[in-house]
Amino acid sequence: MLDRVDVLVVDDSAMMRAIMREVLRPFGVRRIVEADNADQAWEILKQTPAPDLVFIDWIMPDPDGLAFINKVRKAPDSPNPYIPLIVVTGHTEVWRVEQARDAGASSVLCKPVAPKKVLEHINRVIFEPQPFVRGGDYFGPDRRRREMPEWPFEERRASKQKGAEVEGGEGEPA
Amino acid sequence: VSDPAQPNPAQRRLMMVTKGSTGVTAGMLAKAEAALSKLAETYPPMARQEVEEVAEAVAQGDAERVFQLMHVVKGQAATLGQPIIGRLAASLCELARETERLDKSIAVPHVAAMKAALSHGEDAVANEVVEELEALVLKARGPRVDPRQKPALKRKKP
Repeated sequence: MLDRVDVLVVDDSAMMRAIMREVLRPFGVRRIVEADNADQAWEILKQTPAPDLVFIDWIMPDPDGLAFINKVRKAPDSPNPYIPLIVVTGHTEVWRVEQARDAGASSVLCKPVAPKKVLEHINRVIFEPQPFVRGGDYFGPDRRRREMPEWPFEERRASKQKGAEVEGGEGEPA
Repeated sequence: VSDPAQPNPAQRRLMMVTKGSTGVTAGMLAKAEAALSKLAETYPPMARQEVEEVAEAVAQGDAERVFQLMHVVKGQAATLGQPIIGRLAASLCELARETERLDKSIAVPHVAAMKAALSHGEDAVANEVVEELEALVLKARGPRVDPRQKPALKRKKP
């Protein structure tokens, strides 16, 4: 049930925030916190109760969505480096989706936003999460997600990730 | 790699509070669709304002501003049942982002088509017109380049 899942929506467009609100409320999400910039979102992450899940726009005034993701994943004072971060973007090009994934996004929701698609992404990040990996400059969900139509880049990534460190001890090498 | 059998703290909490399911039913999905449809009714006035702003930015040759405005419109319009405006905005966004100088001879017809769609409904703009404008942008833009192979363009929204 989503009634106890706190969601943070970060978008500088009031209309896009309204869209997410209108989609999430009927799903039973009771607490939807909104931020119109990444700095405000960072402060909200530090609050109690903290959000459990974040939808974040990519293109925003500095810092943009990817800079926020980088900070959440890597900053020593990050309140929750493991929080699921779903990037909501109008970008649909493969290299841009890859860019979001390389920043540590849990999932990339390409616009147009549709309730069914939002639900798919929620299901994916909550119930089919990727293990976290640390390798080189990267920390975040394992980018070798399988059976994920919007992540069609497994072979290239697999070779790049070979030899990444083990986070938490077990599991297959990244 | 973290052990998938040992969820991280964020995951543990989500599994606990959801009790293993989102609980979203077909009825809930239908309600969300209906809520979006209702929201879509409020969108045209806002889109009109944004298109007026972009017309001004095009007149000034301000590619950055055109990109910012159209990037927002393309996502909103496509989501709120205005696919033609969404496509025109995406095309103009591409023109502003990928060409060195904003070509007004291509940008102005985009704006005119968006205005027509907002004033007379999306059916007032033929698909062929949109396709022709998209083709003009593709021609002006040239081959798509992955910017990770060159310095990335820094974009800001207003």
